[in-house]
Amino acid sequence: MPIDFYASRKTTRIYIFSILVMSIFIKRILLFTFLLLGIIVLTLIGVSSLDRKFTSFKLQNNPKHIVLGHSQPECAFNDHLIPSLKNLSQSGDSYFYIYFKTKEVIIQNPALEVVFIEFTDNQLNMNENIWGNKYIPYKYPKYSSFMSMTDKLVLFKNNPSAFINVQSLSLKMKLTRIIKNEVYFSNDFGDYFYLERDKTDSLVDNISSLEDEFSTVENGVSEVNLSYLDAIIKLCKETVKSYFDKKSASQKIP
Amino acid sequence: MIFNSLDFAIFLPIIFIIYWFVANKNLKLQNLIIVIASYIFYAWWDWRFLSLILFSSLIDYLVGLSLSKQDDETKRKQLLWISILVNLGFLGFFKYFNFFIDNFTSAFSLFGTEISSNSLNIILPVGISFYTFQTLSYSIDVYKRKLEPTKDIIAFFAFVSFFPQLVAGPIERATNLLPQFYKKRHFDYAKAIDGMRQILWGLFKKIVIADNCAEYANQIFNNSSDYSGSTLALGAIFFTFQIYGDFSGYSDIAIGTSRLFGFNLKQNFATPYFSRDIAEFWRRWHMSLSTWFRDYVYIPLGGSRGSLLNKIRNVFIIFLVSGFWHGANWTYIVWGALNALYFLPILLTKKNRNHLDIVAKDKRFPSLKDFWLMSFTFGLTVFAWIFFRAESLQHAIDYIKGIFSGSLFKIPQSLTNDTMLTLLLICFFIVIEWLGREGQHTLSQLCRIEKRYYRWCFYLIICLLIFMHQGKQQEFIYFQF
Repeated sequence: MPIDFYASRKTTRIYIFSILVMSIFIKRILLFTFLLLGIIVLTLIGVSSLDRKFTSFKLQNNPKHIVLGHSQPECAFNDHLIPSLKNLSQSGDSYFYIYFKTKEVIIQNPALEVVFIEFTDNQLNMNENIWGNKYIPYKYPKYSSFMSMTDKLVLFKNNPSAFINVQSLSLKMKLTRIIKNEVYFSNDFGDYFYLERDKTDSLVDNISSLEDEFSTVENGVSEVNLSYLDAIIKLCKETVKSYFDKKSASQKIP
Repeated sequence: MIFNSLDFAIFLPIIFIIYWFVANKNLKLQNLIIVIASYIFYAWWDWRFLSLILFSSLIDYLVGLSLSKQDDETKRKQLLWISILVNLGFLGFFKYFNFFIDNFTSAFSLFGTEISSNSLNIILPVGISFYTFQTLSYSIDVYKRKLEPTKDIIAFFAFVSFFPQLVAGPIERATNLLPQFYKKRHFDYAKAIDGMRQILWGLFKKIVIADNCAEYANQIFNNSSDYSGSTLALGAIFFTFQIYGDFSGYSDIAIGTSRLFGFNLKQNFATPYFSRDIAEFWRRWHMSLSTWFRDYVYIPLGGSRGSLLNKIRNVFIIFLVSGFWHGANWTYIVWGALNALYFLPILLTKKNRNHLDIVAKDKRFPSLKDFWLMSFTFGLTVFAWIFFRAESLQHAIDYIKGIFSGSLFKIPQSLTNDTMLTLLLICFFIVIEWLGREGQHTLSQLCRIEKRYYRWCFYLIICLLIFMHQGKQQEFIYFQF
């Protein structure tokens, strides 16, 4: 059957040719992808190192005491009334992010003597506040320049898509700050927050919606958060005194 | 699954490799892979609604087969009506049930009779308006003997559910897409590269232009009473670019992805904002839907033939139906009516086919006359989009009143650095679209640069812009239609 023989040879030739062409296509696409990824990684590294140089954690008026924690100490300690104290607490802060803040603040403020660390029951289960979809875009861009690869891997392992998505936002925020020359931005890391009573009531009224927001990540005891608490304590032991500021968690607000 | 997601970025290469490397020798297997991939793609959103696609596909497949065996015209008509009723029945129930119930109740209350109505909490299945029209076109074409009905059930199911265009078009005709499932497909390097370019430009339109514009358009439209006339005008312009970037971006990604698998889908957008009149705009905007309505509604009604009254009636019907297709809200119907009003004078003065060629063909810049005509048409389009975007008719009217208040010539309130950056990106986008307006898609013409180095630099810039803006992921607007 010579005709079938030629037909099958032709089909095989087309098949091999198309496989070869496809391989070239895939190689080029891969080459382009690696080139792009390389440029992105280099840009991220370059901008992060610039950001480290630009960002100042130097506190005004050389305070001797600082308070760290989440929304509860943030609203509790009015640093305008207490002399030589700076409240650096911020809503949603977990020990994971507090660690990077503490490290830089201690290095850049040698006058510092005491660090008060908030210890509330809900700091035990802070996974959502570390890598939850809502918190990563809010916290990561601020501290990413001061994180090591190991710290970043913690986020990547637990929420890869949010971690990848936040890279561009982080790059944009850092670039904007560098271009605008916004060197000093300690208020972005935390400050005393004056609570208006009527706003508190409206928050409590909407408690069900708040609970919904806290359900995206499995929220058992956060070993990651506790390990970073250990790291904060070790860090403080070297230069300053640290005290726990124990608070009982609200019955309603998680 | 949406195109600008990590899921799709993983899904596409896997399917591509299985399709070309594992099933390259076997056409049936390739088609089967497309069916399975399409169902996975759809089920990623909600697997329960797969049953609708399956049912709709099965009905139209059987209707097609029965039509081929039937010579009796009455029975053929009955078979066609089965297909129409099933498809439009699903569409009507899922999309329009609550709209009709609510309007029915309101109409009764106008006459003083209060009736209680129970609107249902119905989820609108993604893409129902698109695949319903696609399968309907098959049954109508088979009925009209324009197309031989297929006996290959896998090819037919692949045609209905073809994942690149399943949820937001382009709405393909069976006469164009179905025969492509019968032919052996070979990997074409040039076609695949061009497909990648189109995907890249689609992602740029969606992520950089549409999602950025959406942020400001949403902010301004949702708080329209707080803003000055100039800010509201800016909000309408942002929405104009949002909807174009969003929808044409989706179409570009869909067409580009299809090309990777060896398929050719029809062009859906051809730089519509460079149109010199509304007739040209409608020849260039959502072309697959416009031609669907033209062929299956407008022409059967008599088209532009017949008495003056017939012409006016037909134009209004096609634009109102087109508006209603977009959603169960009076705002869409008014948007359609407004476009009919724009179109009628052109049709009646027989100027609707004045601008068939591309603007400023082979020239770098448009003439002053063309520039004025483009700007005027663009202005009309922006005005009509206000109705499309508004929550209700009252909202649209208040918005328009707000624009034409005394504050129209004040500096817009929302002009922050980020807004300025978005406006700059829009300018860049317009320039690139202008330069690529003569091609099948924007980058096909523009990327004929000889040196690979320059081409890759351009692609890298586009990719970096996409990367910088990819955090604000928003769903494609046309998913809701």
